[in-house]
Amino acid sequence: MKFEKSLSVSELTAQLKGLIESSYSSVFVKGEISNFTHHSSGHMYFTLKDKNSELRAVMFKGNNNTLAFSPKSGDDVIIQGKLSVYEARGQYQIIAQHMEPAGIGALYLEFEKLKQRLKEEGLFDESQKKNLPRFPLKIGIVTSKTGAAIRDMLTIFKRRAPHIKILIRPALVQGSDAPKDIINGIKELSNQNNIDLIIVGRGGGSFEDLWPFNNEELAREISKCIIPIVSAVGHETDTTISDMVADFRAPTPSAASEISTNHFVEATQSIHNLHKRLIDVSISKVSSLWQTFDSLSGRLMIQKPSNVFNQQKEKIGHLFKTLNMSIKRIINFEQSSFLNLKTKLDTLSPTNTLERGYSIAYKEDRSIIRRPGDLKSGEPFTVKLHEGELRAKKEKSQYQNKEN
Amino acid sequence: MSQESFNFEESMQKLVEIVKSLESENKSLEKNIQLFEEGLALSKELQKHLESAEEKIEILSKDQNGDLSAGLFEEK
Repeated sequence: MKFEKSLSVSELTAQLKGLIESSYSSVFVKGEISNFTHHSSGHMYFTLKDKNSELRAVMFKGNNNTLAFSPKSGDDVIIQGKLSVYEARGQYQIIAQHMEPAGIGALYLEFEKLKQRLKEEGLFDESQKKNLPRFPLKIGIVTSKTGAAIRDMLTIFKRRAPHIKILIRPALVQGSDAPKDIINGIKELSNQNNIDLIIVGRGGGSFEDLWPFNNEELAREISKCIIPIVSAVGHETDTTISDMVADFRAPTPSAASEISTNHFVEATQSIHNLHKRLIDVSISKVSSLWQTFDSLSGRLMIQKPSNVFNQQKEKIGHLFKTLNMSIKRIINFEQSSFLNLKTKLDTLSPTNTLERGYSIAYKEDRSIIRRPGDLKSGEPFTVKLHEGELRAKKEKSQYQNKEN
Repeated sequence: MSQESFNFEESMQKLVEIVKSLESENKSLEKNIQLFEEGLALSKELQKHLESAEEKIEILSKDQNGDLSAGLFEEK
């Protein structure tokens, strides 16, 4: 035995310390905290354990004052630190530099920290964001080629704006390889010609499922991409770093399709409305012109020369008839007055008196004899009867006493 | 057809004047015939234009029921 070569405990411990510290300068270890003490000095002392083993741990004041949570016994945590040896006790231990709750809690903290950092860097500033094109003609989509998200988006595009060309870059949207794949997808699409807009997203899932969209590198890629990017991750209630850094956050993939076609749909609708108004106005204009025209041409037709001629003919005919009637009336009047006169004449005429049996006596000189004295005795005279005349002589006067 | 040189509004106004003139006073038959012929020619021309306008509107209205959006972009 070579006792001369034996080491002191200190020497061995120092060797081990050197060996351990150089071999495990930075390790991640996961376990449950027990025997936790936050010493008045500010340092934290505890044991990290799992089912089978225990590891002594210390977190010095300078490291633990940035902790985003308060560790306590029973917490599952992940520690990053270096292994060392506490020489006085010959105990190896981990000197924790970072410590985070394990599981969702850890992810959530990471999310919060990244969000804070990027926010401070100004990546979420509105001034950093590009406006979306109002009428995109070519849209690139980075998403899973299976899954409902892409189906929903394509259905909406086809229905609302079938003219838009869609380029799909299939990508992993879950798991640790997803961020790199999505980043490459964005790069590839932005190298394409004439891409107006890129949609990056996936359908709903758990917080861990959506985790790739909280990746810092992806966030930076989205931020620096020269083409406007719409982020559409999960459901409305899910918000990821990608959503915050993108030029526009769509609550769902379907909403992303709708948002990028809204202007087109509105424009189409207003063109339809204008078109309809144009036609309505034209129709009513022409109808009113027809009405004016019809009434005018009706009035013109009344003035048709043959019409006017006929009218005049009719008028002449009417005048002629009136004239005729007037003449007749005049003739009738004349006739009747003539008859009247004749009757009157007849009444006055001696002829009628003779007819009734009277007779007239004339002297030779045709003067009418009115009394016996008009005639001398034996003087001849003529008696006019109704028919013919009698020649006679006055006898010696018997009725002379009646004369004068 | 002298589609460009024909002014609808003017012709309409002219026809109005002719009809008014025919209606207003007693003209000689010759003058009456001359005005009437002029009016008739105008009225035929006006009717033709109204009919063609109507036809155009009908064609446009039919287009409206078609795929307007497709039509818009085919031109590009």
